[in-house]
Amino acid sequence: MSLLDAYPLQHYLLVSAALFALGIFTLVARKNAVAMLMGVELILNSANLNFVAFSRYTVGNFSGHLFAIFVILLAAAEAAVALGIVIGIFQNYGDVDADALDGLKG
Amino acid sequence: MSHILSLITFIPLLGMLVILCLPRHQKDWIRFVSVFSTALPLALSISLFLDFENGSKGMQFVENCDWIRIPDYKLRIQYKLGVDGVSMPLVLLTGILSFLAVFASWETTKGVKAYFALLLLLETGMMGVFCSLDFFLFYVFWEVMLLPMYFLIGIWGGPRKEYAAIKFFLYTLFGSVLLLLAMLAFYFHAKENPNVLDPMDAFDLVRLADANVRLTFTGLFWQVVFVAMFIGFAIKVPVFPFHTWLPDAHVEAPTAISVILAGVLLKMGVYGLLRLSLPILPEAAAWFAPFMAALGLINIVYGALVAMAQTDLKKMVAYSSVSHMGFCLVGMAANTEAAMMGAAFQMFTHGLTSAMLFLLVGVIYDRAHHRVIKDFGGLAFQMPVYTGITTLAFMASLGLPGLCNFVSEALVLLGSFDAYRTTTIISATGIIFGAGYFLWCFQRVFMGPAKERYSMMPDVNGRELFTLVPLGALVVFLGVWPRAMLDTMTVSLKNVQDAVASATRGG
Amino acid sequence: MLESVVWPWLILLLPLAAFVTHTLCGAMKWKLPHKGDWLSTGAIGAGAVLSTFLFADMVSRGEPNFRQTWSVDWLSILWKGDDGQLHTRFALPMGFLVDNITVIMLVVVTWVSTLVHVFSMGYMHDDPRYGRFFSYLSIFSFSMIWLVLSDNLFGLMIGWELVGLSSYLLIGFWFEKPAAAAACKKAFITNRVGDLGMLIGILMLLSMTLRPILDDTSLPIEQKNPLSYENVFRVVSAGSYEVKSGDVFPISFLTVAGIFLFFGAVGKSAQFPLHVWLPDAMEGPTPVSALIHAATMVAAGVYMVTRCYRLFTPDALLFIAYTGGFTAIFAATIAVTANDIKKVLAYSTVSQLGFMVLGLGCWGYSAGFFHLWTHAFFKALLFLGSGAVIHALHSQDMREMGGLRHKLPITFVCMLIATCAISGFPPLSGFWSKDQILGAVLTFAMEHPQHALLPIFGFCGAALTAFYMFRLIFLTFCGKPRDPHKYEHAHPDQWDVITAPLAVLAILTLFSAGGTLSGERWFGDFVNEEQVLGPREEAPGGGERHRWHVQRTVLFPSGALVEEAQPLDDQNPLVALHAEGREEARKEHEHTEHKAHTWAMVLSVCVAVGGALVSYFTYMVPFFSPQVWATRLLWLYDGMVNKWWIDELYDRWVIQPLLLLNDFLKSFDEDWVDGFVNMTAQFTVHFSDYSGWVDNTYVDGLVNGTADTIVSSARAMRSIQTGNIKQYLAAAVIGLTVVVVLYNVIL
Repeated sequence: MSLLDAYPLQHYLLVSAALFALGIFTLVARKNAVAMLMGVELILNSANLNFVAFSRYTVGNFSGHLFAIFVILLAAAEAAVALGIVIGIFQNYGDVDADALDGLKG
Repeated sequence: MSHILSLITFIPLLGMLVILCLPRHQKDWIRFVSVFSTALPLALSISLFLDFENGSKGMQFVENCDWIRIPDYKLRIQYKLGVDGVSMPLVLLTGILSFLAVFASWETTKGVKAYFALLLLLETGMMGVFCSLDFFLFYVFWEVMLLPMYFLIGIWGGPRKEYAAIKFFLYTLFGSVLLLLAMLAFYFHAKENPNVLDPMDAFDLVRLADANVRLTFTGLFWQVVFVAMFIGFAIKVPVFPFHTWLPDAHVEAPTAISVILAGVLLKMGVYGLLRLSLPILPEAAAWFAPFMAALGLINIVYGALVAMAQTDLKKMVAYSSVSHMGFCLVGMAANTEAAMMGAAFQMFTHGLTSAMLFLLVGVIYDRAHHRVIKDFGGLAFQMPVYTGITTLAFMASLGLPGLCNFVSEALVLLGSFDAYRTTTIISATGIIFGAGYFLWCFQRVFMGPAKERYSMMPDVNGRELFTLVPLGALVVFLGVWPRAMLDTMTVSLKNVQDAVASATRGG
Repeated sequence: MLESVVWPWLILLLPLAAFVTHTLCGAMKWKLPHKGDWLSTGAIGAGAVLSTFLFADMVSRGEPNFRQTWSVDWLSILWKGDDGQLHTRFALPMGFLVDNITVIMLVVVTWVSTLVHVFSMGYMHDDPRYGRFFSYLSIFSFSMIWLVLSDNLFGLMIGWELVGLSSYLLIGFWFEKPAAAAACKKAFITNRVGDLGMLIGILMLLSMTLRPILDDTSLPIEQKNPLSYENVFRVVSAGSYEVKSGDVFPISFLTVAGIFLFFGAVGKSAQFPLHVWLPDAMEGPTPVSALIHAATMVAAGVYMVTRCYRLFTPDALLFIAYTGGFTAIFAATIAVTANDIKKVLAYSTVSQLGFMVLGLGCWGYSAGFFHLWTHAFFKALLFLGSGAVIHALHSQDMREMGGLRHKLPITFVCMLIATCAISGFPPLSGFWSKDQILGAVLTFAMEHPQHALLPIFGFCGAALTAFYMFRLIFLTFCGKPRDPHKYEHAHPDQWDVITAPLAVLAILTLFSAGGTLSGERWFGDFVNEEQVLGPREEAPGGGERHRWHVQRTVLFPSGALVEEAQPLDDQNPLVALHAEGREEARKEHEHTEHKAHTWAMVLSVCVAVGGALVSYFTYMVPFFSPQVWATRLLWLYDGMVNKWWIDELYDRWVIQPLLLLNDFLKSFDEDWVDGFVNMTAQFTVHFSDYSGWVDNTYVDGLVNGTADTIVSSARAMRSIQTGNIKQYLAAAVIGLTVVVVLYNVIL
C-alpha cells in the first residue's frame, strides 16, 4: 500500500491548515518582531505543503513542487531582508517590539 | 528691400540688451552705449529724411513679411514697416529727441542701468508706432511704449510719481482698449465681407485705406468705431476733457522724460488720427469734424487760460502743450490743404519747442530746486545765455514769425477759416492768451531786480547747451525755411485730405 | 539802380547781419571793438544812403508809377494732379515791392534809425548792456524794413509781429525796473490784440481771394499768392466776390474785413482804445522812444492803411476817421496835464497818429501819409531833444526843470523848431501836412454835413497840440530853474553825438515838406492817386476814372451799410445815372475841396497861434492860473490827470475778470475734470474692495469649505489607522474571514 492510499489529501490539508493557523496566531499574538517573522515562515510552509499535496493528489505532475521550491527560495530572501529591517528597527528604537512601532498611525 | 526702418526701430532695443549685460556700476559704459544706440537711429533717420522722395504718393522704405499666420482663422498679422510724409518727420523728431534725452539724463544717479535700458526700450516703442503699417503691429508698439514710460515716471519722478505714473498708465491703457476693439471690428468686418476685404488683410493699414475698402465703412457702426478710436487717440493728444493726466505726468516726470512725453508721445495721438482714423474712416471723420473742431477750440482757449493761472512753471508749460495741440485738431477738422499741412507741421514744430521748454524748465529746476514762478525774479542778470535761449523758446511757442510754430499755426488758421469761421476766430484768440502767459511768466522769472538767493546761480553749462542749441537752430531754420519740412508732407497729406473731402461731398 | 533787386536786399539784410553778428559774438563771449556800435550804425547808415539813392532815383526818373517786385517761393501748398505733376494749389511767396510808398517809408525808417543809432552812442554810453542795445536796434531796423518792403499781407504780418518783438525787447531793455518789465509785456500783449484783428481781416480777405486761385493751374507761381497786394486789390476792385451763403457777418463782408484789418493799425499805431501801451512804453530808453514809439513802428499802422487803401469801403473809412479823430483829441487832453516830459510826447504821438488816421479816414490818402513823413522827423527830434534834457538833468519831471535854454541852447533851438512844426506854424513841415489833413477833413464834412464832428475833433486837437507843446517848451526851457540844484549840475550842451542828430533832424523838419506853397505839392505828386488807388482805367459810362472812386461815390453812398457788392458795369442803373451827372459832380467836388483847403489853412494857423498864446499867457505871463482852472473845471482836470481812467477800466473789467476766470478754470480743471478722473479711480478702488470682500467671503469660502469638510472627515477616519501591525493583521484576517463567509453564504 502506497502512501497515497494510506493517507488521503484531507490529512495533508488539515496539517497545513493547522500550520497556517499557528502562523497567524504567532503573527497576531507575539510582540517580538523576530517571533512574528517565524510566524510568517509557518504560513509560507503551510502554503508549500498545500502546493505539494495538491500537485501530488489532483494534478499529477511536479508543478506544485516547483512552486514550493520557489517559495522556499523567496522565503529565504524575505527572511534576510526582514531580518535586516528588524535590525534597522532595533538600531533606531533599541527594541523590536512591534506594538511600539506605530509610526504609520494617522 | 532696405531694412532701414527695422534698423531704426530695433537698434535701441539692441542697445538695451547690451546695457542689461553690462555691470551696474559701469555707468560711463552704460551712457556710452545709450548715446551710441540713439545716435545711430538719429543718423539713419536723417538719411531717411534725405532719401525721402517728396513727390511719391505711396509708402516708402517698405518692409513686409508675415509675422503671425493662422490660415484656419483667416488671420494674418504682418511685420510691415513703411513711412510716408506724415510719419517720416515724426521718425526724425523721435530720433532727435531721444538722442537729446540721453544727454538730458546724463546726470541721473539713481539706477542708471535700468533708466537707460528703459529709455532705449521707449525709443523702440515710439519708432515702431510711427513705422508700422499693420494695425496689430501698431498696437503692439503702442503698448510697448507704455511700459517703460510707466517705470520712468514711477521710479525716477518727483514727489507724487506713483500717482502720476499709475494715472498715466491706466488712462492710456483705457484708450488702448478702445483701439483694440476698433481693431477687432475691422477683422470681423472682413470676415463677414471677404469679397470686399480679404480677412488676411484686415490689419493692413494701407489696404484698409484703399478707396474701395473704406467705402464699405459707412453707417452708424463705423461712427461708433470712429468715436472709440478717437477717444483712444484723444487721450494721448490730449483732448479736453481727457487731458488731466498730462500735467501730473509732466510735473512728476524727470526732465528728459517730459521732453519725450511732450515732444513725441503727444504726437502719437494726432498721428493715429492722421494714419488710422481719417484715411480709413473718412465718412465718419467728416461726420465728426465739427465736434473735433469744437474740441480743438476748447483745447486752445481752455488750455491757454488754465496755463495762465498756473503757479508751477512746468505745469504752465504742460498746459501750453494742451493749448497748442488744439491747433492740430482744428486743422484736421477743417480738412483743407493748408489746414492739414498746418496740423501735421504743428506736430513737428510743437515737438521741437515743447522739448526746448521742458529742457529749459529742467535747467532751472536743477539749480533752484523749485519751480514756483513767483519766487523767481531777475534771473536775466545771473543767466544771460539761459535768458536768451528761453526768450527764443517762449517766442517760438507764442507764435512769433520767423520761428517754426508761427508757420504751422498760421497755416492752420489760414486753412480753417473757410470751413469754420467762428471757431477759427476764437481759436486765434489763443495767440493773445499765449502771449499773455508766456510773457507774464517771463516777466516774473527773468525781469525785475535781481534776487540775493539766486546770485550764485550758474548759467547753462556745455551739456545743457548741447541739448538746447540744436533744437533752437531747428526752430529758427524751419521758421525761416519751412519748405524743408513741408514739401515732404504735402502729397501724403493730400491723400488723407482727398479721402475725407470726397466723403464730405458724397455725404 | 532801381531795377536791381540787390539794393532792397542790402537795405534789408545789413541790419540783420549786424544783429546776427552781435548775437554770435555775445554767445561766444567774443568782444567787439567799441562793443559793436559801429556795426549796427554802419549797417543802418549804409541802408540810409542806399534808400536816399533809391529815393533820388525815383524822383529824378519822373516816372511816378514805378514798381519793382521780386519774390521767393517761400511756402507752397502743392498737390499732385491727375497728370502726375505737382501743381501749386496756392503759395505764400515772400517778396519785395518797391514803389513810391515803399521808398518814402524806407527813407523815413533808415534815416531816423541812423540818427537814433548815433544819438544812442552818446546817450547809452555808460550802460552795461551797451552792445546788446545796438543789436536790438538792428533787429528792429530789420523788422521794420521787412514790414515796409513786403509785397503781400502775410509778409506784412510777419514784419508786423517782428517789430512787436523788437519793441518788446527794447522797452524791456532795463528789465530790472519793474515798471519797464510790466510795460514791455503790456505793449506786446496790447499789440497782439490788434494783431488778432488784423489776422481776422487777412483771413476774411483770404477767403475772398483764395477760391479763384486754387484750381487755376495756368497761373504762374507769383500770382498764386492769395494775399499779395496785387491779387487782393484785383479781387476787391473787380467789385464782385464770393460771399458764402449763411454768412456769419450780416453787413458787408469787405467793410468788416477792412475794419478788422484796421484793428492791427489800432494796436500798432496806438489808436483808442488800444493806445494804453504807448505811454507806458516810455519806460524804455529815450532813443527807443524816439525811434520806435514816435517815428517808425507806430507809423506802421498808418503805412498799412495807406498801402491797403483800396480795400477799405466808405463805411470802413468812416470808422477809421472817427477812431482817428477821437484819438487825436482824446490823447491831446491827457497830454495837457502830464508832467513827465516823455509822457507829454507820448500822448502827443498818440494824438498825432490820430490825426494821420483821421486824414486817411476822410479820404485824404496822401495827406495822412504825408503827415507820417513830416511827423517822423519832428517827433524823433522832440524825443531825442527830451533825451538830451534827461541826459543832462537826470530827471524827466518838468516840474524840476525850467530855464534850461541857457544850459542847452542847441537842444532848445532844435526843440523849438520841432514844436513850431508840430503845432502847425507855417512854413514848417508840420504845417503843410497838418493843413492837408484838416483840408481833407473839412472837405469831407462839407460834403457830408452829418459828420461835422470830425473837423471839430481835428481843429480842437490842433489847438490843444499847440497849447501843450508850448507848455512843454515853456516849462522846460524858459522861466527860472525850479530846481536850482539840478540845474547847477546839468551838463551843458556841446557839439557831440547827442546834439548832431538833433541838428540834422531840425534841418529835415524845416525842409522835408518842401517848404513853400508850391513845393508842398511834391508829396502829393509822389504818393499820388495811382500809387494809392491803382492805375486809372476805362470807367463805365465813359471817361477815365478810378474804379475806386466810382465804387465809392456811386455805389456806396456814405453812411449806409452796404449789404452786398454790386457789379460795376453799364447795366448797373446807378452807374448809368452817375455817368450823366459825373462831370458836374466832379467840378462841384473840386470847388468844395478848394474852398475847404483855404478855410483849413486859415483856421489851422489861427488855432495854432491861439493855442500857443494861451500857453504863453498861462505859463510865461501868469495871466491865467493853471491851478485856478484846474479847480474850476475839476471834473475835466480829474479825467485828464487820470488819463480818463482807461487803464483802471481795463484792469477792472478785462484783466481782473480774466485772472478770475483763469483761476476759476484752474480749479474747475483740478476739481471737476481731474476730479472726475480721480473719482472714477476712487470708485474703482471702492468697488474692488467690495468685490474683494465678496470674493473672500463667498467664492473662496466655498473652496475652503470643501477642503474643510474633507479635512474633518479625514480626521474622523484616521483613528482607525493605529499603526499597530498586529491590529492590521487581525483586521485583515477578520476581513478575509468575513469575505469568505459572505462568499459562502451568498453563493
